[in-house]
Amino acid sequence: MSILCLWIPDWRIGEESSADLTPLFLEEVPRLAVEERGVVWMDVRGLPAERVARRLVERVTEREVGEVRAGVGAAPIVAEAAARFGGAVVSVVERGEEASFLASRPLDLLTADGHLLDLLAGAGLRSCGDLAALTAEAVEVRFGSEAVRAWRRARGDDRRVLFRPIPPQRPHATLDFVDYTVRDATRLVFPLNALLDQVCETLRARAQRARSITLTFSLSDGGSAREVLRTARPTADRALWVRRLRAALEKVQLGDAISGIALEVGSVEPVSALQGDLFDRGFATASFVEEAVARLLDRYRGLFVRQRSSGHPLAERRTSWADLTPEDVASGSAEDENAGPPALALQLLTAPRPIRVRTRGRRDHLVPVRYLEGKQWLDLNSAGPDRISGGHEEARPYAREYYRCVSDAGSLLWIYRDAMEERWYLHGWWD
Amino acid sequence: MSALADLRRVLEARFPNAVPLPERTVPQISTGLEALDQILPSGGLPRGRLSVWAPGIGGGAVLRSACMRAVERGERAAWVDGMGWEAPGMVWSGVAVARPRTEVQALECTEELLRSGGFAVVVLVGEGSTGAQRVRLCRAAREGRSALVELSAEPHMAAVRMWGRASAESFHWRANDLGEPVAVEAVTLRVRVAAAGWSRESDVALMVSNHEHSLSLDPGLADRRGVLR
Repeated sequence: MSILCLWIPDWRIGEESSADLTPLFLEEVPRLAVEERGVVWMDVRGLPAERVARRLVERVTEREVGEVRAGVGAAPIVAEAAARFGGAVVSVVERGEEASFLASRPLDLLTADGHLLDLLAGAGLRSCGDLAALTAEAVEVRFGSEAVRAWRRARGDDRRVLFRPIPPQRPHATLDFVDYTVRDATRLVFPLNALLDQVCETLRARAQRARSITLTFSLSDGGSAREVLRTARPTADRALWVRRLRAALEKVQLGDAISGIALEVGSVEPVSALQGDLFDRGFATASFVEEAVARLLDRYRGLFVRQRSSGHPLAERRTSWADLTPEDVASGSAEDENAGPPALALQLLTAPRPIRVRTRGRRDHLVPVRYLEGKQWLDLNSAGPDRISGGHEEARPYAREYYRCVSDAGSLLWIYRDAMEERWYLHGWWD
Repeated sequence: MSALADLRRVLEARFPNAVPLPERTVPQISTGLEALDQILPSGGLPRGRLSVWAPGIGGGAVLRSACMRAVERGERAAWVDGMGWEAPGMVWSGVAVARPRTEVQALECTEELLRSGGFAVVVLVGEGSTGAQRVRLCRAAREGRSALVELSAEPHMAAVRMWGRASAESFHWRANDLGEPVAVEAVTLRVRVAAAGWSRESDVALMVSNHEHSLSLDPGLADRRGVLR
């Protein structure tokens, strides 16, 4: 016997007048499913089904929710039929007796589809036994696929999945210090290493990798402290998690002595692999690159970046950087447009450098003709100016005249005159 | 004579890294510049070896080109920028860009990427490695079969050394109707390449990407072109 069905026609879930019976059910059975029509399914595999059913009926009756009856059977439809039509408070249908027990039951037990029930009644079928006596082919041809499902149920073959599979417990490991407490968290490296070994071994056995691991410290005062460890990408690599643990232990500050430690995997994902491409030269080494990049990102967050450029008038405010994941680096996929021919590109100094410049007048502006590099004056051949101004909306006004200058030394420089300060700056160069 | 040839073959088999690059036994990475590839001893940047471009003009453009050609061929390339410079509007086209905060981070990052064996070319821009650091990087490049290139003045252990220089006359200007220079369009670099038993020079032409200003003229200033006089 595996399914217990409680039939409580007057009980409605969510209504204030109805008692909440769910905690009571869960005290007796591990899994249950409740339907709005007052039917409660319970998983009684491995339990003394009839005894559990009687105890539940007694306890529910005490709550005064109206009529309560229970049925036990190998299939849901049998258990429901036993509960509704069994004639006793608790009815048990033994294995092998399902079809005969169902034979005299009405067809509306099998389906709630009114149209189908009308069709069946029109064909002169009155009970489950009438339907079960037909062949599956005849039922499917005349009444459709839904009728085949009802036909199966009429024969005691109910394939409904009432209970979702129980997810496996997340990998975890704990250690309690019974005889002593620890004040220095860094001393926990060795025990945590051992716990991590268990956790990573479980992950590998399940072909999973962890996105995060929660480290919990139980404190002597009864409290606890948590640290969530994350790596750049999900992994079951113990060495990587040990590094994260060490870093966390060095930083953690606890209010009291530690009386226990626990590690629990936060969320997991299955270990997966991509199908290779014969013409992708980088595919064979992708996993090595991902691992190398993940190690680097664990140490230096935000190390790998993608450049984004805006249209800000000030060149130094045009560039922003978005972090890349190991997968982004390994895939090497370019969101950027294709690069053109090899070309010198403008490079900016981290901050514009003030320089001394000699100028000559040209129409309405001054052109730089020499500038002081170290102790040497270098001649300049200059193009410009490109004038920009603005920034009043941010209370940081700017007004600059930019010149592209080729120096005697054979370098192409980007120089500007700050019209607000009346000073000259070297902003960048082409390389 | 045949005994000498036999000895040479044995030595090449035993010490493949000691074979001079002009022997062209080392796989190479094209720079994407034919004129430069022709004067490089192995026909490109040698894999598994260190190449150095001395500070000066053109190194960035040539090495970016080598990285992008590698990516175009379906391989990976990395650019480790230890200087934190910004290049507004730069198109990286799939090159992995790392921006370490310190010089140590840059060296560590370069070594890790080289050892992964997944990068055809790794470029290190910054203060550069010296002494033991460079030995480690060279070993990592050899293990990972990657072409390691440093923009550095330090030639120690470099299999190939490159210099680029230009004079004021090397730049090709575009002039306006008044004959005044408006923009630099191209430059012809004189590039010199040196390796063991090898020294070549060639002219290499490069475009100049002109930085476009998006003008934001502010009527609040006395001069609408933004200049107060």
